[in-house]
Amino acid sequence: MDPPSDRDLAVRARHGDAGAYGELVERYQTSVFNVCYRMMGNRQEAEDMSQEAFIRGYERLATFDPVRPFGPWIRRVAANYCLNRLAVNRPVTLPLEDEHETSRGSSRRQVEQAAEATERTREILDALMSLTPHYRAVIELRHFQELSYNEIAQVLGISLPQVKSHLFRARKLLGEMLRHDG
Amino acid sequence: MDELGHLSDERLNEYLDGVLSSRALSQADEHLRDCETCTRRLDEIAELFVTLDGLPEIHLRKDLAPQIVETLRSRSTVPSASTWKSTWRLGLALAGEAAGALILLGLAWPEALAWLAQGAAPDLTSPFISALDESARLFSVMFAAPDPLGLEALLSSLSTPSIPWASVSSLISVLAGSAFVWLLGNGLLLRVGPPSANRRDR
Repeated sequence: MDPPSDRDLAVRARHGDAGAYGELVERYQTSVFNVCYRMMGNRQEAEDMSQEAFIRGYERLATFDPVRPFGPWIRRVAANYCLNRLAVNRPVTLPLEDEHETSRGSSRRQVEQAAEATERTREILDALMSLTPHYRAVIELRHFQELSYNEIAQVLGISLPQVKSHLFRARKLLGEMLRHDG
Repeated sequence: MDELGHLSDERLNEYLDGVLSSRALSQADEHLRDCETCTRRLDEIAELFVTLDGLPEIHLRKDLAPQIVETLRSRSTVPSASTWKSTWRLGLALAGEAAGALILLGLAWPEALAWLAQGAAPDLTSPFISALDESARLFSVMFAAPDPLGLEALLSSLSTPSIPWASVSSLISVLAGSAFVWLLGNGLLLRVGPPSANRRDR
């Protein structure tokens, strides 16, 4: 039997079926976690924010159009939730742990490659974390969620010129930082 | 174009985002074919795109679903319960108001039928004509009276307004009923509370 579609699960969840929503969480938790990680810059906080974002999504399922895909919707909810949290909270802490796990049997070359990749990932995340929350949010929505300018304006509740301005400045800052680090 | 005749960073960003109009796009393409400065700058910005695209996906080390489901079950809330509850209460208030309006209409209907049947006011325009007559009379009293201010004549000339087809008791009951239904309805609507104004929470 085919697994239920996202639409079916969302409709069941809207009627109070927490188990159906749990299946949606299983499907999209990694992508939502990555949104939160890029926004918060910290694993533990990203996990907490992911949970909260899913719960918030459940409470707002009435605003979700089941005809549209669930993944982009819940990722937008997560990005917005993180932005709201960042807007009222302290600067983020930078990630400290290694995000590239290597198996015990890895060769020395593989270990070196993983270390290089980890270092580059860290540089990119450091650069992202140095941006203001709104700049980070437009980068997240444009580059990782691939929203249009109009969609970003709608999600963040800002004007189209502000979207362009935030995006171009954020890219300029990121580019400068990454060139400097590289 | 900037003051040196190069494409601005904004234009280059829009170029890479694919949001330029076809005319602007062909102009930009034409310029980029001949301008090394702009091509170099475009490559720098595009490199950032590639860098961001290359950011690897971070692994989630634990399954979030069980805890989320447990939380939702412990809260035992139906999704968007507040929204549904608000909608339900709004519907109830509107239904109440509609029922009140129907009752009032039912109360007033016999009066209206009786008025039409008796032909007490066959001419529907007569109340307006009466009002115009009254205005004209007041005007003439004010400006033709012997006392300079015309107040005495004015006060003595005022007559009690009347609506020919409605009794005072029915009017009072209709007005009181309307006020009650209006207050009750608005009270309920106010208790529903305003919708969330935070657009960012979508």
